[in-house]
Amino acid sequence: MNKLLIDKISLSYRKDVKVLDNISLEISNGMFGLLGPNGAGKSSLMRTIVGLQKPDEGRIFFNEHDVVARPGFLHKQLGFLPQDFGVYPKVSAYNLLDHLAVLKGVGPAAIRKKQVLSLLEKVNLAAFRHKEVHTFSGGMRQRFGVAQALLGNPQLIIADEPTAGLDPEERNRFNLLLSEISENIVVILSTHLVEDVRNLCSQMAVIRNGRVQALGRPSDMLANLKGKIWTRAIDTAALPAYQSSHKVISQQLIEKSLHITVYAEDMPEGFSPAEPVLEHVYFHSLSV
Amino acid sequence: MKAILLFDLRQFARQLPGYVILLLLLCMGIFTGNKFNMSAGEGVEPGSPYTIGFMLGLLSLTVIFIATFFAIRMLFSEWDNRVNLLIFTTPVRKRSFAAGRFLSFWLLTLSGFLFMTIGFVIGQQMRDTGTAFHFLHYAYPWLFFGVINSLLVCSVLYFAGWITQNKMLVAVTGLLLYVLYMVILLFSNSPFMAQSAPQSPEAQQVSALIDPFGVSAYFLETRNFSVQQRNTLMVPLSGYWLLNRMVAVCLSFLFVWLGARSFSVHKKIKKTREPKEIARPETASAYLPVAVNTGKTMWLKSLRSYLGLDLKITLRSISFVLSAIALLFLCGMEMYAVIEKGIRLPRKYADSGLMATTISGNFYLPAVLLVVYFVYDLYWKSYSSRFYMLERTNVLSSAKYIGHWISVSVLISVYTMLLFLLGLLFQFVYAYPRIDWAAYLGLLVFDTLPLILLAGFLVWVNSLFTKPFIGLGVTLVLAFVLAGPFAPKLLSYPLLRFFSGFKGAYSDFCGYGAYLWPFVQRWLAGAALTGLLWILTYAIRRRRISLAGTVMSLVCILVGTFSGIQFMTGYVPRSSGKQQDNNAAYELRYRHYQYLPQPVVTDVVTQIDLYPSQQSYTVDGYYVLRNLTSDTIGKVLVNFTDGFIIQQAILDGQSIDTAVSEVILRRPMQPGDSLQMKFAFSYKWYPVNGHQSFNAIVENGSFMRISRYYPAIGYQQEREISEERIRSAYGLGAATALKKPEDPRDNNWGFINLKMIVSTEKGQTPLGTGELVKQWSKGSRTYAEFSPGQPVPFRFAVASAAYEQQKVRYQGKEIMVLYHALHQENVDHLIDNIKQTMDYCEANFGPYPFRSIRFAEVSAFTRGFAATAYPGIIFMTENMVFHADIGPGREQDVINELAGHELSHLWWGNSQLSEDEREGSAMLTETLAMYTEMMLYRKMYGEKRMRERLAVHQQLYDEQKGFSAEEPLYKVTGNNTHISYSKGAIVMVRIAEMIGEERVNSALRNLLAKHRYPLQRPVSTDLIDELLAVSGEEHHAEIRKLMMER
Repeated sequence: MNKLLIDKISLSYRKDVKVLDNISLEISNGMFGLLGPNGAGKSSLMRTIVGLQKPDEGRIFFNEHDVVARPGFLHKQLGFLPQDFGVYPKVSAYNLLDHLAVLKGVGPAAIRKKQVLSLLEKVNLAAFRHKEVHTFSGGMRQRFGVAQALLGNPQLIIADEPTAGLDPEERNRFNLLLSEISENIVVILSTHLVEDVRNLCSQMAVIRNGRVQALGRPSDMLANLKGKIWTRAIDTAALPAYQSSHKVISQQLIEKSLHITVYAEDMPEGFSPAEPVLEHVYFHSLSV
Repeated sequence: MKAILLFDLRQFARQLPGYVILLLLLCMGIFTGNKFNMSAGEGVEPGSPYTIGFMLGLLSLTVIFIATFFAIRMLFSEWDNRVNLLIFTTPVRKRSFAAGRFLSFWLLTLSGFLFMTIGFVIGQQMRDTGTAFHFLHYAYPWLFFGVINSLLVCSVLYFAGWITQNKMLVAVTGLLLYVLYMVILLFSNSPFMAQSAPQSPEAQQVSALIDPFGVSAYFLETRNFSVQQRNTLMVPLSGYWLLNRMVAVCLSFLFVWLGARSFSVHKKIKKTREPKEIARPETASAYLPVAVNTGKTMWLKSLRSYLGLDLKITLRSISFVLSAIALLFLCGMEMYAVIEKGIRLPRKYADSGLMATTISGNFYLPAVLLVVYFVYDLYWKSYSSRFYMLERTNVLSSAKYIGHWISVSVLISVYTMLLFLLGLLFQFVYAYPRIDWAAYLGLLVFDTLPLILLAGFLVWVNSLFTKPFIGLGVTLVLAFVLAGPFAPKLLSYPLLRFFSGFKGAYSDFCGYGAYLWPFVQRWLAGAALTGLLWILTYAIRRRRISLAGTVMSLVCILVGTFSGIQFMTGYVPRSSGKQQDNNAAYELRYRHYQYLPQPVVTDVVTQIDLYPSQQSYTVDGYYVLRNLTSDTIGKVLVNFTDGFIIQQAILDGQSIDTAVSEVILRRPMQPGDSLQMKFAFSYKWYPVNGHQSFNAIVENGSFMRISRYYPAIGYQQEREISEERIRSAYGLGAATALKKPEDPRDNNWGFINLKMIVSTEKGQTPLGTGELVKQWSKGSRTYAEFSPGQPVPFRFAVASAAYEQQKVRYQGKEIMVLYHALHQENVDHLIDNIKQTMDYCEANFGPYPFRSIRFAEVSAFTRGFAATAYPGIIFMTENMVFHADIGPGREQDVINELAGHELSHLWWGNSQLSEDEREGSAMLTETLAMYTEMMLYRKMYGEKRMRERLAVHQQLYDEQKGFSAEEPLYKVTGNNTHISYSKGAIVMVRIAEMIGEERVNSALRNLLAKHRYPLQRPVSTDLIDELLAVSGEEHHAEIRKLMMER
């Protein structure tokens, strides 16, 4: 069983900008979803775990090895798909993936070639393996990124917004792939898509301003909100009034009509009960 | 446009690195202004408007590098920072954006040059330039060089940047501009070129027009300036200079316009080649993880993968191709120039030594810049392409550092190989197919190895930083300091210059001589230090040092220490300031000896034992000193040369053990008395100090003007400091003035009876001055005794080499030519010319004073003359005239010039007409030798060819006359060779035309008859008197005018 232990990690970029604030998480095999708004610190946490930056405080252990002190230990078994990455110009997809496979330690050459071709096939880039990666579209590049994250035998995969730029079919393919491999390894999925967390993840956390706002199993979090979520349609102009008098956790347009969802122990007047979904959990966590 | 301009300027002003860059440029300017004195001539002040003008013109070359830096930084910043899609979807117009960006680019470049100029002014004012500060003297050239050159360079880079959208191509364009300039300078009227390889007027005019920096035009416009004009006038913007500047401005506007038109918001999509097929997997199977191995074998594979990727990207790039072409073009043009040598000197044989040293001299500096760029490009590629997030999360990415180092090393090796092939091509084209591999080995040792080491060091430096442009800036500065042209001045301790190239000589006699192995030793010391930096940095990052790391560190320390100590063996720090102090102290203490009677040396009996394989020799001997004055001599000032070890020196029973000694005689010398002085001293030079050209004891082909290093008696006036400003700083009065022709004659000839024995190692022939008396071997050494058989001036030299010989008897005299086995081409022709010269001089001037004449070739480690004459022997350097290509169809027979000029010195100078040191003495030696040379040339080749040679001398004289105070021929001093040689030749030929060659020769005969040793000592007016005596009165005014007027 693999285990990633993040123990009281803090990181500041300047004196007044704290991007990670005393974060502690314990993640075992399976998919772990990390939700949060822009600037919450998700990418910073990802980069800190993979060793691209050092935390100011705290430690990170993977299978009981301190990977802040020795990031090399983690790198041997890591697959990392950053949110935004570039590629070398004038190098084909096959050659660049092969280069990364060598850096990963995949060998001998015949085995490496087999895995590289297999991964390109898996992400639907086999037909473009001779094409220079820097000419790929955004979605193709993202698929390339997925392929390189799976090189070798990763025990920890960290994917930051992995389905950004993928069409629904590719997104589905990717989700199936992750699901397939996540049984015996740790996969951390950082995403805006609550739906993906709901579908794929057995554990999740909501992070805001560098802090963990909520942590647990999606089903448990949903159960906690049962009977406390209420909804009604309102005029757009009345929104500020409702925001000041109720704990509005989300708002949504349904057929041009503004529907708000509030959190309350008891049903407020004019509202009707709503079945809690993970979006409610997310928005409620952010509002705490 | 204004918004873009202001934004860019504000961005620059907000960042600390910008100020650091400006401060660095300021410091560079101060250093240049303070330390560099590229004096164009003796009378031209360092602070003169002329000197400031061309210094700023040359300094404006740095605009290339400043502009290239800003171009890379600014022209692509929208795409680099990925804001292009935001900026170019605003209403900003393309042309406005392009114009604004150009203005900010140009203004920042100009600011950089302004700071450098300010530094230059400060640096100049910190020392005494001999001229008061005038703002306009700096502002004027700054405007016409700095502003226009920066406009031109920026416009070219701007156009290149936006038409190619490629940073490397921008860098290569900068390099091409530099190459173009260097090539054009070869054909210019630069005062630094004019003396060594002056170009034809046509070449100079073309050079003046096309020189993008305007410096060639500046030189051409000032070619007729006198010294006074150079010191007082600001060069007017006229003629070629005006034309050049106008062309530069017009071209600038054209390039700006073209650049703006080329500007596109979209990146070009490049075509890619069809890749080869790779086998497809048979089925799309389930995901199968594969075990990884991060051991040493995979690390090596990672290294190979980095190397493969780097070379795949770089070698196929247009940038690499263009930079290789630029280097080939630059070195090719330099090779062409060094073979063809301009109008004054003949074509050289395109031998391997010449090719290799030319490549080494011109490849290194551009290669340093290319190394800086390639290291930057490859090292930061993953960062700038944002690939690093994928790369750095792999263990084996640690192979990146060494991988990139090896990649750059391969690129350097490819450049070296291309230049080697170019050298071979030149040899083939110029029909000199003999390949000397030892010469080309120098490319590897002196260029490739230090560049590879520099690459390793710069990769290490880049690894210390997290931002690419800081890495680039720091590595640029370090490369400039450690490997740039000013490294010898910036790093006075020679061991630290292990990143520098080598610009020494190559000799067919002894290759690179004693320099090759010490260069390798220094390189090893540098490699050890670089290795240590890598190991320690790696250990610090990992927070531990492995056993392997510890062992390697120890090896580095041992190798570095041992190599460093070996290299520094014999090091003697040299300081021009200290030398000056010593000379001033000498004058203050001993000048009064000028007025005290001193004995003269009348006899020298000496043995010189040469040890070429050890770069050393010993001297043993004694003087007979005589009091030829009418006064009593109570004390004698004895001077030994610095750098020699006195083993023993005894005068009057007293031991002398310091370089300068006052010996109080126990019994004063009465008039006519004599004393014996015994001495023994030794000399050895070490490669770390370099060798002296006229004291070149080398493995093979040694030559020493050895009389210079013998003990001298009395006050040595040549030690006096000549510059008045420096003299007054030391509290010294006026320097000893050179005697005038009309001053009383000194009938103390200073001639000696000389007997010398020279010995050398077996396999070499020892050569001395005078007639060969006998030769023998003893043990592993060869001995030869020489004596002129008559009194000669205190001036003698020795040589030693493994020679081939050719000997003939002619008219009762022995003619012998000693030469390197591979330099036989011109020997027969030389012997013919010797015979003709002998015939002419004996028929017209008088008998040849000796029974034999030898012409001996010496190695290229001796520089500074094509040939030099001593009693009975003439020494010729291998790489100037003797081994020239004067095959059929060549216009200039330098062998004829060599024989005619040098052999005639055995009449004009040496033991026959030997004048004392005064104004006009050079006329009696060099002018008369030039006259003889011209007459012989006419006799052999006819009037037309002689006129052509004379026209060259006219050009040489015209080009040089503006750089020193003009002297009349009869008062010419030794420094003004353009007067004593060139003007002298013209004047004497003119006089011969006027009164007839026969009459001129008769005058010269009479001069010799009256003034040869030991009769009355000649002065220059004696020649005028003799010419007047043999010519009609109608010619007297003209003769006086030619000889006595400026």
